[in-house]
Formats: sequence, C-alpha cells, structure tokens
Amino acid sequence: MDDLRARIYRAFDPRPLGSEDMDLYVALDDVRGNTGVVRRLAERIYLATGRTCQLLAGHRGGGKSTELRRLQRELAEGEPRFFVVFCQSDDDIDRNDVDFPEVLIAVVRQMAAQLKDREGISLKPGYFKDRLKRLKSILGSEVSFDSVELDVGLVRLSGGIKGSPETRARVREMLEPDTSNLLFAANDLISKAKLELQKKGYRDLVILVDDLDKMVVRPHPTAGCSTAAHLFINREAQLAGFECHTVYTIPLALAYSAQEQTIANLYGGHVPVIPMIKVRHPPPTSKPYGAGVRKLREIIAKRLTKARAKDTDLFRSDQVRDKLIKLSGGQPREIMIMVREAIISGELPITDRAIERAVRESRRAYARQLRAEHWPIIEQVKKSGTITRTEDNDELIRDLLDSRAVLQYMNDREWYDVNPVVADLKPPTS
Amino acid sequence: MSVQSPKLISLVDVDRQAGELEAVRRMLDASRGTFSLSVAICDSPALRDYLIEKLRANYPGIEVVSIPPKTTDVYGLVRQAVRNADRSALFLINLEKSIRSTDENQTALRSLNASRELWADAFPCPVVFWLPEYAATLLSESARDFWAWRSHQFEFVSEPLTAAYATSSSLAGGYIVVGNLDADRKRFRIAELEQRIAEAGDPPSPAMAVHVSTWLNEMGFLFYSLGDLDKAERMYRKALKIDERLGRQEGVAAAHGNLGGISITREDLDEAERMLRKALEIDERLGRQEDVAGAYINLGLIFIKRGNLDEAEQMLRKALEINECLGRQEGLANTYNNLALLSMRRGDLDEAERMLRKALEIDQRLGRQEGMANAYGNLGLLSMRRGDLDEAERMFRKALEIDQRLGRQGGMANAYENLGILSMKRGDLDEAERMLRKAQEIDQRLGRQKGMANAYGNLSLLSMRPHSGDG
Repeated sequence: MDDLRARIYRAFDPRPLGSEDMDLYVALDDVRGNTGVVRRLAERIYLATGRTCQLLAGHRGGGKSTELRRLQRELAEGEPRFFVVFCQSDDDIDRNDVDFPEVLIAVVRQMAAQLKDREGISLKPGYFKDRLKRLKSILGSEVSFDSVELDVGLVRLSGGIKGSPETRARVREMLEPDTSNLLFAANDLISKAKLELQKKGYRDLVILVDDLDKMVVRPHPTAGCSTAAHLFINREAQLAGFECHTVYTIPLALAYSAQEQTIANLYGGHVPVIPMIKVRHPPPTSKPYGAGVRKLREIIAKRLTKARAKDTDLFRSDQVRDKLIKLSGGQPREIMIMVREAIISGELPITDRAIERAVRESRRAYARQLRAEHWPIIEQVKKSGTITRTEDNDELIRDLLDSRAVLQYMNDREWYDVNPVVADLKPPTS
Repeated sequence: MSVQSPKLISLVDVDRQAGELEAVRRMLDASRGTFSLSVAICDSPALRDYLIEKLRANYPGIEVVSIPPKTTDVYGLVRQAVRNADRSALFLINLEKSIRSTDENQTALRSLNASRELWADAFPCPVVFWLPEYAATLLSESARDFWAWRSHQFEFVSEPLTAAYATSSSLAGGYIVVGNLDADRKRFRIAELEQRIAEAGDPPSPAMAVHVSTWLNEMGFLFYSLGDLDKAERMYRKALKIDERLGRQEGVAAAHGNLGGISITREDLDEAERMLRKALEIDERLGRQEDVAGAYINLGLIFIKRGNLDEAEQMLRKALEINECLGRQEGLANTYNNLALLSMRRGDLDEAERMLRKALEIDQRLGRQEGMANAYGNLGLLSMRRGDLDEAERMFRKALEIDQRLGRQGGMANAYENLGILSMKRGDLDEAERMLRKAQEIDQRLGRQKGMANAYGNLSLLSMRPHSGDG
C-alpha cells in the first residue's frame, strides 16, 4: 500500500473520536435536529445538588461515543472542573451477556486505572478484598488482592468474567446475592476517590459508561423481559446507586420501546437520543437535504486534511463522494467503513463501482437477516417515514432499529427512513 | 395484672429477680396444706428445671407433672398423672406445648378455665404453673377466670436470645462487609474514617457531605458492633444533623432507624419504637422498600420483646413479603432469624429450627459472619431446650468463636451467658459462675441493663448453691 493510500486508510478510522482527535470533530447538532444533547447532559451535572444518573441513546455509529467524549472534555476543562472517567465497558464485558455485577466490576476497574494514570491516585482494594476472595474457588489464584492494587486485581477478575461464559455464570451466581455489598464497596472507593480529587481541585466525579448500547438485546432467560429492560429497568436502583454522577449509553431499541415511559420515570426524563444526520427529507419526497450533506462533506474533508490529501485523491468525482454520503444514511461511521472498503477494492481515486462493492456485502447480510414479518414495517417506513407500534410488533421494530435496517431521525419531528443499503432489497417471495 | 415484661430493666429489677426465689419459698411455707394457685414465668426450660431442683432440695414432697403436647383436658390429665397424695406442692410444666398463640380455639385453655373450681378440692396444696412469658400472656387472655383465681405470680429472667437487627441502608448494603471485619480491623477502619472526615473539612463541601454522613453511619455501626453504644449514638446523631441540613430524607430515615436499633439494645423499647416509626414513615413516603422491610424487622423484634407475639408476626410477615419480592438475601436472613425467635417464644421449636436453618443457609452463602453467629447462638438455645446439651455447647462455642473474632461484645456476652446457663444445667456450677461472670463483665462495660440483670439473677441463684461440706 503506497503512502497516500495508507495515510487515507488510517485517517478514515471508524472508531469513535478520542479526546485527542477533537480536531476531526464537526458539530452536527443542527443537522441532527436534536440540538445540544451534550450541553443538556452537562447542565444537569453542573446544576445538581446531589448525584445524577442519565442515559443517552442513539444508533451505533451515529456519534454517541464522540458526543460522550465532548461531554468528557467540557466537564474536565470547564469551571468547576470534574474528574471524568470514560468507561468503555466493552473492554471488560461480553456484550452478548451483560448484567449489573459485570458493569460494576468494569466501572470500578476503569475508574481505579484512570485515577492512577491521570492523577496518581492509587485506590486500595478495601472492602472488595473481603467480598471477592470468595471467588477464589471459581477463579483460583487468578484473583487475589493480597499484594496488588485494585485495578490490577480487577483486570484478572474481569478477564475471567469476559472470557468464559461458564465462569461468568458461576461468578454471577456468587456475586448476585451480594450486589448491595459490592455496591457499598464500590461507593466506599468512590468516596475515597472524591476526597482525594477534592484536594486536587476537582468539584466531583463523573463516570461515563459507553458501549452498553451495543449489548445484545434478546429475551432475558428468567426476568420475563428483554435483557436490556432487565439491566436498565429492573436494575435501575443499582445503576443509579453509584455515589457520583453517571451517564450510561442504552440501546436505541429500548429507548423507543413500549417501556419508554417507564425509563423516563426512572431516570427523570425522556432519554436524549443522538439521531442520524439528515441527508434527505422524510418519505415520500426523500429529496436530498443540502445542509446534512454539506456536514458530511466537512467530516470527509477533515479526515482528508489529516491524511494530507485532497478530495480528488480519494474520489474520482464529487458525485462519487455524494453517492457515498447518500448510501451512509447519515451515519458517519458507515462513511468511514465504506471508504476503507472501497480503498481496498481498487485503485485510488475510488469510483462508483468500488462503492458498489463496498455496499454489496452489507446488502447481502441484511437480506439474510430480514424476515417476511419485517417487511410490512419496512414498506410503511418507505412510504410514510413513520412506524405504527402495536403490542405485537415491538420486537420486530427493535430488530430493525438494532440492525440499523431502519434509521431514526429527529428534525421537526421524529421520523424514520429505510437504510439506503436496504432500500433496494425486495421482500422475500413465498 | 399484665404479664408483659418491664419496659426498661433497671438494677432495681435485678434485686427483685434475686428475690423471686425467696418469694416462692415463702409462698410454699405459707400455703403448706392449703390450695393456692401461682404462675411462675420463666422462658428458659434450663433455668426453670434448675430452679425446681433447688426448691425440691429444700422442700421434699414437691411433685412435678409434665403436661404432654396437645393435651386438651389439663385438669383431667393432672388428676391422672399425680402419684403422691402427700405432696407438699404441685408444679406443672410444659403446658406451653399444648397451646399456641396462633390457635384460635385454645381448647386447652378453655377447658382449664372451665375446670377452675375443681383444682382447689383436688389439690389442697400450692399449685404452680411454670410458663414461658408468651404462654402466661395467653393464659391471662384466654382463661380469664382461671387467671383471676391465681394468688401469686413470679418472674424469672431467662437466657438471652440473639436477635438480628436490620441495619438501615445508610450503609447501602454494607452491613456484611463492615460486620465481617475482625475486631482489630474494625478499630483500624474507625481510625481511617476519622481521618477521612477530618480531611473532608468542617463543614464538608456539598459534594462530600453525603459521604461524610455515610462514614459517620459506618462508624456508628462499627462502634455499635464493638459494643460502644454511646459513641455509636453520637455518630448517628452527627450523621442525622448533616442529612437534616442537606434535606436528605433517606439519610434522616436511616439515622432514625439506626438510633432505634441502639434503643432496642438498651431495652428502651418505647424510644426504639418512636424512632423506628419515624424511619418507617419517611421510608414509606420515599418508597424505599428495602428500609421499610428493615423497620418492620426491628419493630417485630420490639413486639417479641414485649410479648406481643401476634403483632410481632404481622410485622415480620410484612418484612418477609418485601424482602422476598426484592430478593434481598440479607433482609431474608434477618427476617428468618427473628421469625425463629418468635417461634421459640411460642414454644414451636421445630418451626424455629426451620427458620434458623434458612437464615444460616443464606448467611453461609453470603459469607455473612454476624448472621452466622446469631443463627448458631439461637440453634444452641434450641438444642438446650430440647435437652441436647452437647449440641447446644457446640453451637454456643461456634457463635462465641465468630463473635470473638469480630469483636462483637454483645454477641460474646450472650454466648457466655448461655454457656453459663448450660453449665448450670449440667451441674458444673464453677464453670457456670466463670461464664456468667464473663458475661456480667462485658454487659457492665457495655451498660447493657438487661444483660446485667440476667447475669446478676443467674449468679445470685448460684450463690445459693450448697458449698462442699454443706451436706
């Protein structure tokens, strides 16, 4: 791969922007229609007299993590100053199978590690030592707090939990009845951390828990609801039980499910959603939306600048670029993925054909996933940009939103569109 | 005349307890050859048997009849069971096995009531019913006429049951982790928390105030566990002040709940109830079910101590329902333990054992040392009541070992006292005295009035023992 291709390939990294990548950030509030999500999350934290627990939803790849990074920066650099732990729960949790004990372990481990790395605050295992030593019978000598610091001990524990479903089940069985004690032990560490942070001029501690929106949503084996509803509704008291400010990302399908009102009641208001960027008007007109397209062009331009490249280095023509934007459905991450796919499918600059190849695999995957019962909903979205919820179709809608076959937008009103990749598919013939 | 125990046992009561045995003796002298009806209230079969042995040693001719379980015609049974026409007195034991506070019919008590006039003719001597407190209460309520015929009532202190207190969630579930610290680590932890509170400043910043309140509550619990009730109270009151200033209602409720726990230990049951009702009212308003259940557990305990067993059961059933609904294991263990106390008071030892085994299973699963000590202590009492003294000792020693490790002074005093009573039962009076003095020493240090009363009462009984050479 020559140097230009490599530079462009690297610049179009689909991972969320880190706090060091903010030069690539493009403010998208006005083309998303849901303005100032970060501002509102921050304001609740600034104005609160006690702790807050907030949720954030959005499509995968729609920019939640990037917005959370912005929130982190705003709280960490503003006045008063907060110490913000950015917890990437995927590092410790198997998204196929998530419950509160694993979230707690992930939060505590990453908090301890970030306090040590960024402020030199070293937390001791404290009460965790007593509670977790009982796990030795399951994890053997892998877990020991006798001579190690908290984050080191917990790395071994979370590795054991994430790596093996059997181990996870046994650990969970042992920790489950002990949840309130684990929460007490976690809060003791949080209070100690806050005491030390106060000495360093921080007003308070904030924990942003990302990646939980990506948890696999399916019927919970015992709770009589979905796995997401079990975690965010049944376990609300625990999730909101950390003695500091917390923000969790949640699956979009849950935020827009029949339990929407329950969640709003539990967490003090409707869940802010980071919608897709509007690149065309709602059906049935579906005309291109210039402002949204321009924002995505800006995103592409910033990446190219980082790669020390020009538009013409990457795209054969502006039409190719705009076709890619259209096919993304307003998902910035999809642009990154399709550019990378196109780069490896032929020579630069990329052509229509290269883009077609990039979307072909994705289209086949959708064709395999979508069942006959999904199609009436897809057809309705195509025609009207709306979804009619019934008692029977909640799970089907959840599938469509979760897989991003249907995308949700929020401008003057909430509306839906079919993912452009799916739009050309035909319903299965019986 | 009510048979409820005094609300606050004072040292005046200790003297009275020591004098009860003398009063029985005087009654036996005065009533020789004449019918009189007395009720002697004693919750401990071991202590009861010991007292009867002592009296029989000085008063030959006392006949003891044990009433078999499920007897309906008590008078008829006793008529058939007596052997000695020249008896100087008739002592009747184990009537409680035929009556239950949950039995609406109360056949045995109704027949006893109907037979009241027959006793005087059939038994021209002092007749003494030895009953646990709950059974005496039932007798007074369900056999009113018979009760009205009694001439005397004697009350003897009994062995301490180990109650399980529900701590409020001011410790947010930290009851196990804090309670499991051994005595030294409890002291270290207190020092650490004192340091944290000093560093948080006075007054603490708004972000830290809630933590300072939590630390004060934890210190309160640690002092409580180590038996220093005064310091525990001071910590809870400081926490209360902070939470009142912050307008943090859950903290205000928690402090009231914890202060209620202290008052229960001090046997100031009226104050304890006042505190717990206040906590309950706030927790119910806030919908804090976990703490609502905790308040019910402690209110249940108060009613058990007052002998109001039906009301106690109502409270504990409410706690059970909530804890089952929440799946809250610690709460369930505490509830089962106190339901066991209730069953023991009712004389239903099988049900008590079932409850204690359930509590113990949860406590073992959670590694909850304090709960295990409570359960072992109460299982020891069950075995003692059943006459299995070896098993009782094994259980008491297991409880003692845990309590010593944890520095739980109150639990240690209970274990020593129960071991003392057990040694009395075995006739090893020197060992009994040694154990009871240990219990007395701890109770004195803790200012535990009820414990002191028990220990003084039992030691005064020992002081009446024949010394070598007395013949």
